[in-house]
Amino acid sequence: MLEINSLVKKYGDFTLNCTMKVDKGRITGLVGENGAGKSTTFKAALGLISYDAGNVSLMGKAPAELSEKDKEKIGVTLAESGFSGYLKVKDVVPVMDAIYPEFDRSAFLELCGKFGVPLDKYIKDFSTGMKAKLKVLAAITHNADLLIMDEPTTGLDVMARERILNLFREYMEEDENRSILISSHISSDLEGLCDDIYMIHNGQIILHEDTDILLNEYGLIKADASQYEKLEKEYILSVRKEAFGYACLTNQRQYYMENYPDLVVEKGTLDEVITMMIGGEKL
Amino acid sequence: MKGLMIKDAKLLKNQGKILAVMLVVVAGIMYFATDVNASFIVGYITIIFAMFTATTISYDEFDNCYLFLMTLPVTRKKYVNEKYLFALISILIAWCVSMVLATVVELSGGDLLSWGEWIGGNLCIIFIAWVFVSVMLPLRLKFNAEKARYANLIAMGCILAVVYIVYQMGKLLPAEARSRMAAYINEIGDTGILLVFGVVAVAAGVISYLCSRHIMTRKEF
Repeated sequence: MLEINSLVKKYGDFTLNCTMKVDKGRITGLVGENGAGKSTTFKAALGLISYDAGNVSLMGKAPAELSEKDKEKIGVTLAESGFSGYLKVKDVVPVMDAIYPEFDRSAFLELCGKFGVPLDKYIKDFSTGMKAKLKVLAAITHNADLLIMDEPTTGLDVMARERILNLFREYMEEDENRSILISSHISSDLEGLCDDIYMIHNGQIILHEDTDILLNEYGLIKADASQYEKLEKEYILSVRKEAFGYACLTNQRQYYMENYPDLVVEKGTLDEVITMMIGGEKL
Repeated sequence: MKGLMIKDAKLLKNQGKILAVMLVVVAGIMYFATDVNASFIVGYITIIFAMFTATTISYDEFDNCYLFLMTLPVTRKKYVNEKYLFALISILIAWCVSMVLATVVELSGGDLLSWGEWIGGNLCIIFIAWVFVSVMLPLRLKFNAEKARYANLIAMGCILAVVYIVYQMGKLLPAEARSRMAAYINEIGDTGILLVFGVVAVAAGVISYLCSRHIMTRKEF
């Protein structure tokens, strides 16, 4: 569905260097702190910015070569962009109707009602959460094959976030050939939704792993100085000095649990993996 | 392109209502309070309204909406095409409405002598409005709202300066050359002048469109 190979984009001191892939039938997450390069990756993938090197293949074509027909099959939400604030949702409906041949007007209106998105109010007067909901609802109601969602849950409360994530799950269940690329800085959103996750830091992809492996096989070892000395370092991905000794990220939690019964080995969470990958020291 | 047209029509409906009323009121006041003729109503309403259509780009820019629009099934070329088509339709509608108003005023005053002259004379306003739009659209696509405002002022200033210089240079021409020119203008008549306006407007439109296409192709979002 989407393939990004050795994409390089330079902005002053910042350099994005990204290789990633979104396969058919999968939800792929892109996680990273603000300014890591998530939005730049999305913009390059969608042909909104030029790039210095590498190539992008979106639905089998370079973004600049995508026809209107191709773009009808892509649903997009961008972090800081949407319909003009000087429109109302009731104005957006005929626009969507004219732009997308497969726009499901009744489903869109029903979801707007269900999610409390007002039809007769200027979008500029919407709360951040309402704007986020509108963007997602517009993206999922025209029978797209691929959703490219940049921070779609930003500004939503916990309940609304869960409901939106459920919409994504339902969207995927409707057709097994669909795919989603989603970014978020709320890692719990991605943990429960994605099949695989890319981690981006300072414009570089620093980790790509299946979510199941990440959650089941990654772990955080907490060792004091003497325990750390004796520790087999082969499966340690990064280390960070702590008050008690050392925190070590491993992708072989089971190995350390079996061979070092005295050690505290915690199950990995995405947040911990991110913190260790970014803040820790690689061995 | 239909979707974009609907979007701009909705924006115009939401934001242009006050402007439309204001234009009619100001044109009315100007007509009745000063000694301008009824053609002023047509010119004022059509040109100001035409310039407003270029500002639909500002609404696209608000909240970074541009970025999102380009992710829709819309190509950059179609976006430019739509802006020009929308401006043309807006000019024609504004001209028709203002013509109706001005004609009523003319008829009620008993000043209307010839329909041909009245309509023909006012037709050139369409071309003038189109030249204004042709200057504004590429500038608006190239620069953000703030910079475009200054760029517009500079561009309009340049046009006025060119007109002034040409006019002044004309005065420097020998009397014989000037009378030959006057004779030529007389010779081509109203239809000929209208044709000249038309040619200038078409040329401005073509150059402007090509510039806009180029700007949009290279635009980074």
